[in-house]
Amino acid sequence: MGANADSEPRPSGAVRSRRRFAGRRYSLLRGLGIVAEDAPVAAAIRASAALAAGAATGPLLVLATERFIATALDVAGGELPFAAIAAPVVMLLALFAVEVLQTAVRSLTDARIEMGLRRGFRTDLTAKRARLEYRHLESPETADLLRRVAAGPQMESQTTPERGPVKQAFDDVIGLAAVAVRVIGIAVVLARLSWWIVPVVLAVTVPFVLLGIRGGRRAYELERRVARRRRRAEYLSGEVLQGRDSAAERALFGYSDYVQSRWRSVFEGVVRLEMLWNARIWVRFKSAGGVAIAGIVIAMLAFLRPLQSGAIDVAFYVAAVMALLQAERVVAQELVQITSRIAQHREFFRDLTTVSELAETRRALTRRPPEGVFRSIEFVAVSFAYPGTDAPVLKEVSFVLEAGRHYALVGANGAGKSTIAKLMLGLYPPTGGEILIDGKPIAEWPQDARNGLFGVVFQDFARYSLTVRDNVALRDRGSDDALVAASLQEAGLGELVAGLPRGADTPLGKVLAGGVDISGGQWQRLALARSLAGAAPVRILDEPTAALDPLAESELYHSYSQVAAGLTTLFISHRLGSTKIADRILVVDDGVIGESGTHDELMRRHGRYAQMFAAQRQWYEAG
Amino acid sequence: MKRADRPSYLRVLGTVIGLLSRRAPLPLIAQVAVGLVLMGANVLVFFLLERLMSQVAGSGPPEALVGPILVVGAVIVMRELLEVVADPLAVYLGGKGSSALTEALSEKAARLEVVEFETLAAHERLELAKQGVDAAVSMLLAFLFPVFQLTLFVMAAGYLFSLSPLLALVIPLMFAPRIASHLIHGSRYYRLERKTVPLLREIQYLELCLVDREYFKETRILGAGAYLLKRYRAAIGRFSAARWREDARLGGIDLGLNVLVLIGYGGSFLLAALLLAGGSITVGGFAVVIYAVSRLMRMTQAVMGMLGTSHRSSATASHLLEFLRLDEGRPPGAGAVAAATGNLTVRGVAFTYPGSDPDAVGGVDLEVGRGTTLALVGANGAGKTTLAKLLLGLYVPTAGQVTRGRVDTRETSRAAIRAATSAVFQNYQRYQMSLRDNVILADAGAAGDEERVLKALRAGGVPEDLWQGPGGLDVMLSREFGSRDLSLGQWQRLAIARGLFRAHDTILLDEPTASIDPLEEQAVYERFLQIAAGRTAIIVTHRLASARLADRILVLDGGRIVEDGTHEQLLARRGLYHRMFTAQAAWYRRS
Repeated sequence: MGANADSEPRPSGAVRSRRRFAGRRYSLLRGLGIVAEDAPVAAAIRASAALAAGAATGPLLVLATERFIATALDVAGGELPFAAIAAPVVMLLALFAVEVLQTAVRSLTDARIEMGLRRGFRTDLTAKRARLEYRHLESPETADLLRRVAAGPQMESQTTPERGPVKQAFDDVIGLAAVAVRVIGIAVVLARLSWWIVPVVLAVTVPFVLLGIRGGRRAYELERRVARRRRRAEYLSGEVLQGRDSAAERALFGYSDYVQSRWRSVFEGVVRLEMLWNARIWVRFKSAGGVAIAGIVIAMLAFLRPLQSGAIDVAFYVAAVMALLQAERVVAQELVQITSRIAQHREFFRDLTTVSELAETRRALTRRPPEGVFRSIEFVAVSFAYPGTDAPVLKEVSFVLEAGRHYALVGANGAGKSTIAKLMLGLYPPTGGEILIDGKPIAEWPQDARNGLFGVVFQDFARYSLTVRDNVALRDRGSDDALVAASLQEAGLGELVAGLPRGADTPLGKVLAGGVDISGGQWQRLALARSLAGAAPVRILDEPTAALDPLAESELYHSYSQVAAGLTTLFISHRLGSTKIADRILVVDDGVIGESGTHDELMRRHGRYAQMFAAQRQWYEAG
Repeated sequence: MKRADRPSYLRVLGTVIGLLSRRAPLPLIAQVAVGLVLMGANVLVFFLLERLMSQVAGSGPPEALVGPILVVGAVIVMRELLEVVADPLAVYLGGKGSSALTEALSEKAARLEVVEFETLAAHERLELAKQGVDAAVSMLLAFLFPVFQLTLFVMAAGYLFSLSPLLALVIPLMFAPRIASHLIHGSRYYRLERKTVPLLREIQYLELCLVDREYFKETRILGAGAYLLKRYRAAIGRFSAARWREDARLGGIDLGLNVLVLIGYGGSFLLAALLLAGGSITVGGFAVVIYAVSRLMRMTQAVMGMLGTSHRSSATASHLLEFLRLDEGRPPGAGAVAAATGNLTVRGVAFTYPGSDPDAVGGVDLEVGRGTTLALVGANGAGKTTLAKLLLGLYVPTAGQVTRGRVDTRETSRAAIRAATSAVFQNYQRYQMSLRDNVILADAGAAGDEERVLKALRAGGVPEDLWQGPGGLDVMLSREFGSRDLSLGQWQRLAIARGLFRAHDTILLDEPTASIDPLEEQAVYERFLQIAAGRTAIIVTHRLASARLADRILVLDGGRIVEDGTHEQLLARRGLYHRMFTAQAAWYRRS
């Protein structure tokens, strides 16, 4: 079954996938190539089995049935011994065997193809997505596109890429070929009677094909629209009306009736659209079917004359009519459905091409320890507006972070603090000005080298539902056990980890078996431990204490100022007490650095910072 | 509830049909009616074809065939037209059905006690129930299809039987392997599921870590992509291997069973030929036998496939039914609204989350006068939020009692608890809805009162430019559903506006300023104190400076109240509060 060819581990998937989705254009044909590459043997078996079944249920069946009936008639008439029936029965059985066994072959090859696509296509697609430039992640259109490519236009969460449109496109093209063999084959056999049957069959089927293709393209569009509404409805019901996180507000505010009526109008719209769409498709299928039946009726009538004159015998007539009647459903339903889906698949491959052309970040998946000694990061008149917006978040911001010093970045909500951090990390390129790391423009630093410079605690830090160790050092387990333990200790998690059933190898969260739930504050410390474990010269902490209690917060400042000695740190915080551990404070105000200096300098200026600091301090005074 | 007593397929099916016949009767009736008519049409086509074929093989003049041929053609065309209605109707029933069941689930979720949502087990139960909606619908649809095929099936079988009882033997020979295959698939499928579900979950999760927005930037900066991808590949490899082993085995079994079907086939042909040779059937009858047998074969395949789907879905559907049967706790009705406001009295209260051992809160006795501003402080996990929810009546204590006014919260209706109560929760919601909706959700009855909405927005400190742009108050706050997303700080202000929008006598503010900048934080508290004058306010906070504003501070440690007093009193005690306060204050003291 081609086990060897398909189950070969992919030794260099990275190299291969780079070729696969690096700007390559995809058509239906190249799409089939994906299946042929990922599961060559299964695809070949599947294709030949389908074609054989097409022939077996079409032309060969007509011939065999004719032969069978003729022999049976002769036997009945006493012209042949009963044993003569054996040969046609065996022939018919062989044909049925092809059809029946095809289903078993189909389920086996399906499994094999899915397996190949899972290892090849799905993995490559994931790798491509993991390498995308960050800006694509923040764009709702791209998010939609990526969802479509992973799960098809319906974007059903249960559909996995290996069962998605690539597989379906393969199935449908094979299916179309099988239908063609079946229908054209019958026509050719009937042409023995009269040659005009071939053009008639073609004339009847071609409009179906065209109908299908026309419907398919619109179907893809419509499914996209319906999918968006459906997601909206799912958000309202799944999150707001039934969700776990909203339970307290839902109970207290009692808004369920209000939201439910909102949900109903969205969802009813979806149901109506889908039904109307379906009705239109079925009207098409069935009007096509009506034409086909008319064709069959005409053929049945037309063959009456040759039947009478003895030009054809009863056996052939019966065999031909049976084959035609069985083929009718195939033509009227399968053909229209298949061609309509193939048109949809072509839209899908257009989407896949778009994904393939999305820009990737170079060396995005690894981290390289810095080679030289880190000296400085410099923002030179940096401006920035988020893609798709005009409003500048940063306006010509200039400052320098020098090695070994501690900086605090403070300012109001929405002033642009987190944006500065994102630019520094290279997640976005600035729209104006320049960012220099060690005097070299940031664009000249490949991602892996940049990653080696920074240890970061994000405001919306990730909670990896993996083991404690993975949460601290998300890379191959090597000699860094001691580092992991030390980082956990420094982040104040030593005790917690010691108490876990499997220590640092205990899974957290609810994905892995035996996962342990920890509190929000503990997750935050874990994020802190992660930023410590990287041995990076620059540490960025974005609101690291928001969820911590007062003693823990104070402890964290203490331990952090010890750990950070000799490193360069950037501390973003609303809690101005934290500026005590900073040498220099940058105050961001409405997209510019309003003031900067030491705490004392800024206090003497009586500016924004002094105002904010006083506001917070007064509450702690004269206790 | 024991896993072992999973409800039987028929019971689940019955309950689902009962639910839908109450909530979506029309589509259900229409579907059944069309199904019956179609069934009739199918039987008619079968019957007419049989007649026609006999006539063809008979010795009559061909002209006599013209009429029957046209009749068969017309009936088949009519059947096709009927199908135009049937399929969209099935889609409609599916849509209506899932609409009705989703509503049932939403209504249930609105009636359950809050605590039913708190634990991990509750989370899983809820997720399964949600999957149950679609499963129940597909269970029903997959059940209806084979039912309507049944008559045709009996008809074809009867026809074969009438020709020769021996011929009817073909049917079990075709059916038995399919049933066997289905049963084997079923049991194997469950076993495979159990084995591979954890792996599948891991694969999906690792994929999220690589590509999802929630993880993307952190995974990138960590340079963890290569490592995660390696693990992802390994997990896919393991999953695929396990899956293939099973698929190959099942494929092999199917192949063998199909050979049995084939033997049935061959037998029926030989029999038919024998009958033909013996003269007991005509050539036309013979053709119909072939037609009927192959039709039966395809039908058994489709019918068994559908029944299999229906059966598999029933397990998931039963989770929904189980959820709908959960105990709802306190009654929803109106009750003594006025009595639910006033003094708060807490007597010997303890509270344990369902399924967990230690008390989250224990041994609490307390008297809080109406109009008091009460601050709850303490370390992470000390029980602050739990106590606050007990005070509001959102939770019912496991021991002891909480009374608001003179009414025990255990006996108060949900409507009465809700009346005159508001809150800004720690995990406040960021509704992907319009700015207006984000505010009025707290009191949907007052949706039309624009002035009040604006007042609440200003009181929460939501920046005016949010509603001064195009769209005004109806601007969508959602990245996914169009328009703009807010920063965390802005969302939090909006949550405060929502809390203040609701008319209240008692309000909870749980960490209301965690993401809000210092100047605004002060402003929030000042505005808040103005509004709170004369009302009972419960503030949970890590920022001890804000606790100073309270009339009374409770310090919690390990679920118990360890200190109780005003800011000055507590500082003078030099206990835990003093320790926490000085630790925080030290960072504002500069030489």
